[in-house]
Amino acid sequence: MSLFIWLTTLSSFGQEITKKNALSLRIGGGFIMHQDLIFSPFIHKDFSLMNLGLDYTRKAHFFQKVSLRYANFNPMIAEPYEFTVHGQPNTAYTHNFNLIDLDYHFGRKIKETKNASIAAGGLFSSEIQAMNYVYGRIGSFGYFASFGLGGFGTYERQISVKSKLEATLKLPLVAWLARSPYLVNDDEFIENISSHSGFKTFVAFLGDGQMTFWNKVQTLDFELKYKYSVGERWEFRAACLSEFIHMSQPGNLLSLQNSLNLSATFKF
Amino acid sequence: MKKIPVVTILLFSIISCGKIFVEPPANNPEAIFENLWTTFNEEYAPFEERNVNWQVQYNSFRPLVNSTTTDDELFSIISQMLTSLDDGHVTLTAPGRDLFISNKIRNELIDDELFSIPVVKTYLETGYKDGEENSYIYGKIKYECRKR
Repeated sequence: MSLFIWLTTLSSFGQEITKKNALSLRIGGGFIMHQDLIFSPFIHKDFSLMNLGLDYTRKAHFFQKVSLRYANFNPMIAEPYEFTVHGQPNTAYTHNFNLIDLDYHFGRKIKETKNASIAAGGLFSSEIQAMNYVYGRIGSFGYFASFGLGGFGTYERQISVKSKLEATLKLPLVAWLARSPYLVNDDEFIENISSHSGFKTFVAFLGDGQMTFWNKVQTLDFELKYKYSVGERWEFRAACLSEFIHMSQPGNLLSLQNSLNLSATFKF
Repeated sequence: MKKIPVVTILLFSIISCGKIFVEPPANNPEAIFENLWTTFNEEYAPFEERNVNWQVQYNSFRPLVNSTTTDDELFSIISQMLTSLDDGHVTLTAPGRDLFISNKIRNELIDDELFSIPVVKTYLETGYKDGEENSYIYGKIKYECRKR
């Protein structure tokens, strides 16, 4: 009898554990509008299907979430075109933007009703934008890297037996920020790339950053997500995510990225 | 009913985002010329070292540009203005045209046969890197060469 109770308890506990964790793989399309006056007065726009993401969520006593996202865009003011260099044919290609986000949320439910809940807490947000601006034969490398702390809030509402709606706002307030120097390169930039090693250069760029607050750089992420449950372990999601970056020093940077993602979630 | 204002605000925010960007230069000959001249005027450092009075260049070439200036004419006018800089880092690229390089030596390939690449390589320590068709070579100069 006691063995039966123990097994039942273990089984229940196991089921309880399985429902606390979720792993999501997301894929979708995104649109970017990006203007960095350090490099160009133009607004670079592109739509790309190269939007991928992986989320791990744990909802127990505390709420935790790790989110990794990658997007690639290839904007160009005109279409790729041909030109010559001393008579030799060349092609002017598009710019190439690689955007990586890694966020960690840690919080807890602060309010819960029958059909809705609100969770809030702290946020570690890292955002890296590596951009190769191509001007015909030559190109300039640009970067924006932010590692910040802030807060997040999530509102989740049950809208039917199988579906939920979730809205999340992420707001980094203080960040270590590294960005391309005014006029593309300066003494530090040349020194940083002198190693000719990608990793060393990346670390050197980050080292040239500084601590900034929300009054100097404004970043904001807002996500609206629809969740549809298919059984105990699987859930399908559709999410609309807007990511906003604004910074005015040393030159105006404005980046707005909207993406629509579909994801499959496995609960365990 | 509360949902309607929220959705309206969200839509308005997304639509109005387009207005918070700095207006890019218009796509016409005069605006392009003005933007190029102003960008150099504000951000190009070595005017003094190159003994170039940029305002004089403006006064000379701006009157040649008007709303009916063709792409060919504009490319030619801007190239002539950039010639005054004689700077190998200043180039002008446009579809279907030969690349213009502000530096006379590079633009006219004057130094193409000036250096013997195999000889240059003898001055470098092993491990130097070079690009296809000697498009670039970089490496450390040998210690004994530095002492000379």
